[in-house]
Amino acid sequence: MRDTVTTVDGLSLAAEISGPDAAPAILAVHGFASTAQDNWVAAGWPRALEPLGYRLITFDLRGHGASETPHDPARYTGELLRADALAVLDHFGVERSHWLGYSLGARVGLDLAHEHPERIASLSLGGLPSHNPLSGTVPDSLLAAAAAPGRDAVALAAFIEGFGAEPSTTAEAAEAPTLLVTGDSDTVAHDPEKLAAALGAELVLLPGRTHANAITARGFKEAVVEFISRLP
Amino acid sequence: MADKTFPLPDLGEGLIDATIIEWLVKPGDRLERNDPMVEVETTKSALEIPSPLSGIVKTLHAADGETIEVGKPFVTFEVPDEEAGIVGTVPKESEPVRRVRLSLPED
Repeated sequence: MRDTVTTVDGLSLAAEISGPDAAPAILAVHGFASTAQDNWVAAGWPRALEPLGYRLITFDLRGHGASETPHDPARYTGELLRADALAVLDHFGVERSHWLGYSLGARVGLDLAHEHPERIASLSLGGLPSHNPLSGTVPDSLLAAAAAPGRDAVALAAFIEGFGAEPSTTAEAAEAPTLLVTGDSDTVAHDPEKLAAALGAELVLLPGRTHANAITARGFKEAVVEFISRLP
Repeated sequence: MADKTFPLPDLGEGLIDATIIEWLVKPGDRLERNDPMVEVETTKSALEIPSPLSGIVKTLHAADGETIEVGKPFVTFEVPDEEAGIVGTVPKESEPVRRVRLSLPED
């Protein structure tokens, strides 16, 4: 079911929920310059998560996909992105959810788990950089993704300017059990061993995968399903 | 049995080719429609293409790491004759069917 969620500052976000009513929920949050469709649906995640029997909630981050794409950098702060995720959970009546995030979506989840531990049951974090890649010199691969067909490049430039002012994520263990999955050829999220140790996270490395193509990996999907199904 | 060849589907938004990250199947495998079949990467994103039909994989037309153009032969299946067309009137080298099922952005 597709739905529109209104943010604290009045933007419309495109969200979608599927799966059995009252089942535990997984909120899947995409990376910078992607969309829920590209990051999760086209990459085969709904099919892969089906065996869990959970509800799957996705939404397009502000500035992305079918959500509103303001061109003002002030609309792209970590605080607003965390509030957006909570607005989506509130909208669907979900008090506590598992979090599946890729790159930026992983970072927002980790920050939210520190801020509101009561809302996050577990963290499955893919391609999480320990620094803020939108700060300083932005990697060419992310700039190219922002300029890809179908993206609002002006909004994403504003996103880089706004979110780029955020400090690095807090690399400390969250209350929620945490899984970190990273391609071993990822040049954006480097040194995953060190980050996993700081987070007290389980670590799965994906052989030969980069920041751009780890998202479809069977090893990523299987690790998440196994991790979540093992939680009490 | 008859052969049915599928081209690399149109990936939308002007994308002209894709690189095979990893085939999830091999010749001889029996697939159900929508089973995960292959991971590919475009200049925009990585995606998983599910099997367009139920059948036995006969030929993979590109290896892992190779780039192929949209519309070029991608995968050939062996299917029962009745699913390949009307027996005796449709040549085996018929036009590739372009109805590969894919979830693509709607915008």
